[in-house]
Amino acid sequence: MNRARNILLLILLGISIVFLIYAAVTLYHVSESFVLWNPELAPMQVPLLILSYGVILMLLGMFAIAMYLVLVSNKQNIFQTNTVRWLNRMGHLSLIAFSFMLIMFVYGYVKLGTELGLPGGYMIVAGGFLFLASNVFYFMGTLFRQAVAFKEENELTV
Amino acid sequence: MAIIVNLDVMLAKRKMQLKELSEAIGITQSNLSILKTGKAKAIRFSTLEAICKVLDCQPGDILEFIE
Repeated sequence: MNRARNILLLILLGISIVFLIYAAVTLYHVSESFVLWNPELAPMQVPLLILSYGVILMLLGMFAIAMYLVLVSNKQNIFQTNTVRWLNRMGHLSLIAFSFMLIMFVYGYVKLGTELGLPGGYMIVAGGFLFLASNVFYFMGTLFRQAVAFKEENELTV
Repeated sequence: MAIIVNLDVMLAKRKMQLKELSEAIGITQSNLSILKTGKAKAIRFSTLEAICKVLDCQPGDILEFIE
């Protein structure tokens, strides 16, 4: 049952990674269409693309770590110091992605003001989710650190 | 500040091997080795009681507090 659930989780994570790669590929074409629609946005294209690719790269890193942790949990006990380290790394990646999103929003707002409109709203929502995710990862890291300490104490009780 | 385990000293005094003690108290040799080398983080009262019974000593003979 546990193994089947892990396989399902791996499939879902794999689909997410494929979707992110697809988003990275189509992002350039989407930005091109935006520039064609409104040529005034042309100077913003490269900086926003760089920041967007940054966010996608961080998300890819997070999903890759999640896949690694699921694979590790199949083979050995997940309550290890290494897991805490990987969870904290996921938190860092999420926080970096949040920073990119924040910079994107501020940059867009400075350049366009209230004309930023719906994309600005999406940036706020996505940024909020990334900030929440980073906090959840750090919290999970702290919980795992305590669990590892309890496990070690239990194993070293004679 | 540490708790020192003097199990090896007591074993030497009683001229007993770790293997014999582990068989007498029913605890694996590897677990007793963890205790002997000071790697253990805790000791159960039942373990301490069994060790004291077999080695005919007091808990203070096995555990020592050093500042």
